[in-house]
Amino acid sequence: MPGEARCPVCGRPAALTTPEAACGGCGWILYTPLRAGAITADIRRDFDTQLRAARHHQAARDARALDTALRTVIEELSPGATSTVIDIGADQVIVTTACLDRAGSPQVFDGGSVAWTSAVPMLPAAEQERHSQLADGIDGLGDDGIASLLRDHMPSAGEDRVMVICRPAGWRVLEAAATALATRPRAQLLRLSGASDTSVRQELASLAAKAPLRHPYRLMTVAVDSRTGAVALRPRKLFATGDGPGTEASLTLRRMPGDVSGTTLAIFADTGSNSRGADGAAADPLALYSVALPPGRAAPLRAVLDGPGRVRIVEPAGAVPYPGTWAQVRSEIPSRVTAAAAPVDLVCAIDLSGTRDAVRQRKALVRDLVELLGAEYPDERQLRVGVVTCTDHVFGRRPGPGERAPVTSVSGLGPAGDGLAWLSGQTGADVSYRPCAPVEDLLQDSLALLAKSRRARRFPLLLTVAGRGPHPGRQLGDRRLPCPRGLMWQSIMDQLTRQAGARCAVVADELPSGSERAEWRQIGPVGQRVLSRATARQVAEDLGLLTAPTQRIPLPLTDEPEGATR
Amino acid sequence: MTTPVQAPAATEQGLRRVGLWGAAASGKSTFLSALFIAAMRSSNDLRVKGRNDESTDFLVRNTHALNAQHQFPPPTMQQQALSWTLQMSVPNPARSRWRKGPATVPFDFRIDLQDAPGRAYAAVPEVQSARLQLPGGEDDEPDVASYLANCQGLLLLIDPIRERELGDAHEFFHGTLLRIAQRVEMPPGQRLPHYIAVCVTKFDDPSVFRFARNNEFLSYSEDDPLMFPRVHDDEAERFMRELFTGSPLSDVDLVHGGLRQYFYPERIRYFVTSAVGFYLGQSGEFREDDYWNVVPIDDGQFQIRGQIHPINVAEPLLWLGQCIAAEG
Repeated sequence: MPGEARCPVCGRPAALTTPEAACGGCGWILYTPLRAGAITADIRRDFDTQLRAARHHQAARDARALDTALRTVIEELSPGATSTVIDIGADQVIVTTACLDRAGSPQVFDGGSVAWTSAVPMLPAAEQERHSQLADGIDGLGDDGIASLLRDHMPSAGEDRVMVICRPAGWRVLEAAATALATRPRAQLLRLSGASDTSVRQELASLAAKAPLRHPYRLMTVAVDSRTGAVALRPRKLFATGDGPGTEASLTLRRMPGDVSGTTLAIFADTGSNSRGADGAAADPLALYSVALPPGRAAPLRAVLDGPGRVRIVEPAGAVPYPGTWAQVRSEIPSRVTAAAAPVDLVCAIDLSGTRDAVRQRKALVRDLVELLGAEYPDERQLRVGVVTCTDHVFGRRPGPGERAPVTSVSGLGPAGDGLAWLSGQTGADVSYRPCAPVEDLLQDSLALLAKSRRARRFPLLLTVAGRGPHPGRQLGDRRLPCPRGLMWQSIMDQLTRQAGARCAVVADELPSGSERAEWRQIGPVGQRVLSRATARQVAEDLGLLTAPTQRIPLPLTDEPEGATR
Repeated sequence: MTTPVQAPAATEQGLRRVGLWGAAASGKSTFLSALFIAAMRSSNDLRVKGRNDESTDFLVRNTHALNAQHQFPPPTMQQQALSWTLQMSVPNPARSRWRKGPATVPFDFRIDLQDAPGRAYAAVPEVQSARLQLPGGEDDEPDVASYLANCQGLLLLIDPIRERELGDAHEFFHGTLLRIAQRVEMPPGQRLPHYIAVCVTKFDDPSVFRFARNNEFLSYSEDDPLMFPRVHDDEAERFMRELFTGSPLSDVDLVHGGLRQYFYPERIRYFVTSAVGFYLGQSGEFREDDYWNVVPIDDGQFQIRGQIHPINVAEPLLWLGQCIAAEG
């Protein structure tokens, strides 16, 4: 009714007129008993103070109620569903929607709004008159008419959960509209006093940004099978369900040895569906960062959760958004690599027969290789080096132990520096048998050094550096004399590669074509290079000690031990 | 088959002669040098002695080179007049059912072998000298063909490695063959009267030995305490033919055909020989895994690896001696 009395605190109609009657909404005493005399300034001041306090408390109660209601909206969001909040105010009706994105992060959207003057054209433009009509009702327009007009003009609300906020509560038109909209299933109605002016949309967005994680976040890493070199994706937990903004996570980032290119950090939400799949193929990442790792095989990762869907990389410094897509990253991941997983045992088997220049080159290559590996494998736990050298078998009748005399010298597996120091003391010798070198003897002694590496969970590697091919185990149709000790290099290589599981590469003075090349391929199945053109880096890549460009893995390696499960 | 004519008459002191015939670097010098060692290791009654100082020096020097220095004799650069006497026992040709006598009788024949360089046997005399350059003036000395024509036995050496690589055996064979035929009077229907031992050398070379082994030519003699593998003489001709079958450079079939056409088949015998024999390691036994007795050294040269055990070096000469002696 026009001019209807209202509670000065919460604005609801003050229907009761009996003395000491209190507002049904906020408890404010609406009618005090009559008293004699004029209202003094003191009385007026006391009343005003009480009224301000009551309004302040009402505003606080409204704010708490609104916060609780909106928090519930965010917390009860479910995948695929949309919650709508219809804020019916004194000037307009504002629609805000909220839903979960694919990563389970709450998202808040502007659902549109409509002014009362648009929905109900007969309302006066002047605010005071309009508010008066909204509060007291519009002549000739019943509740159904109000609801009908509003439905026709307001943005459509979803079919899922709806929260209707009516503020100020008690205004007739607003109450009629709120009541009508709240009749739909799964709708809630929240009445607030006019003291509440909090923006629902901003409040929802703020709550969504501070919501705890609904799903764990994982960093995608890769695991490399040390025997087969097979590469598999392996997600590592970064943040747990319930983690909120400000949570910090730490992991150790490992990279392929010698891989100096940038690493991509791919962060996924583990929603428990197919996105969790072991290979992460079906999921879109939450975030992709590109970061340069510092030198060394391992680097710390510190990430801070700023909110759902927002992860900040604190360390390593300089992380920037990856410019490509997850599909591009995946396409760069080789299915198999030849890189050796540390720790490794490396045996360098060197033929020391030949010209001084040739022997110097062979020794220099080995020295360069071992020194190059120093940065990637800093201590003996990571890299042990053994060295085997040989000079030619001496054929023919002559004094001494004869053709079966030992022709090799061995420095056992140990610190790389020890091996190099020992090698520097080894001297070369002239070639005494031009067609062959005792490579088979080198292989035999190398096998003895590497036979137990696998058992010790170390990766065995063999580099053979020789001037000529091996003696055959037995006299063949060609003119090469067999090994006087009867060593069959093919059999030794079989033991090295199959039983000892060693990865073997070779550097030869020359690599002829035909059957001789086939022999070198057998002796160095993972790489054959010509001495004059070989570099330590190439040899290291052949052996898998350093990562070749074609073998680069763009993701960090898992820091879990091989065989561990999440 | 016509009755063979008599072999050429002996020329000096009744001693018969055997001539050495082969391409350059076919191993003639090595064959001769190994002969003394073969005689020493032979179970047969067999001795070699020089007929002059040069021949004895040749034998001493080259045997030392082979046995002590493990080196192959250097190629013969100068034509040398070398001559040895090979003394052996042969079956008594006079003995018969009605005429008694010793089973064997001593028989000496002159290995009046001219160790001429192989190029002296080349086919084209304008290009390659075909005449022996012996001291005393060339007009006084016979050429190689005349020399060989006057021998009762011929030792033809064929180097299988060289033949596979160069295929020049026939080149060194057919010119000399034609000149011998020119110099020996052959009535109609007759052939050259010589006994001829065809020796395929370098049996120890891996490619040759492997061929023999892979094609089941190997046999073993119970009389050989070291049990060295051999190619039996009865298989040697087929071995030679098959060894060169498919070799794109070799015309050795022409050699084989020339021998068959110009000599009496029953007077040709094939031998598969090795001057240095097989390597015996510390075990002292032949090992099929490790048998090559030659070590390649720099510049394409070779050294001898171990002891020398000539194979079928004495046997062709023994056979020639027996054949020549049987003619009386």
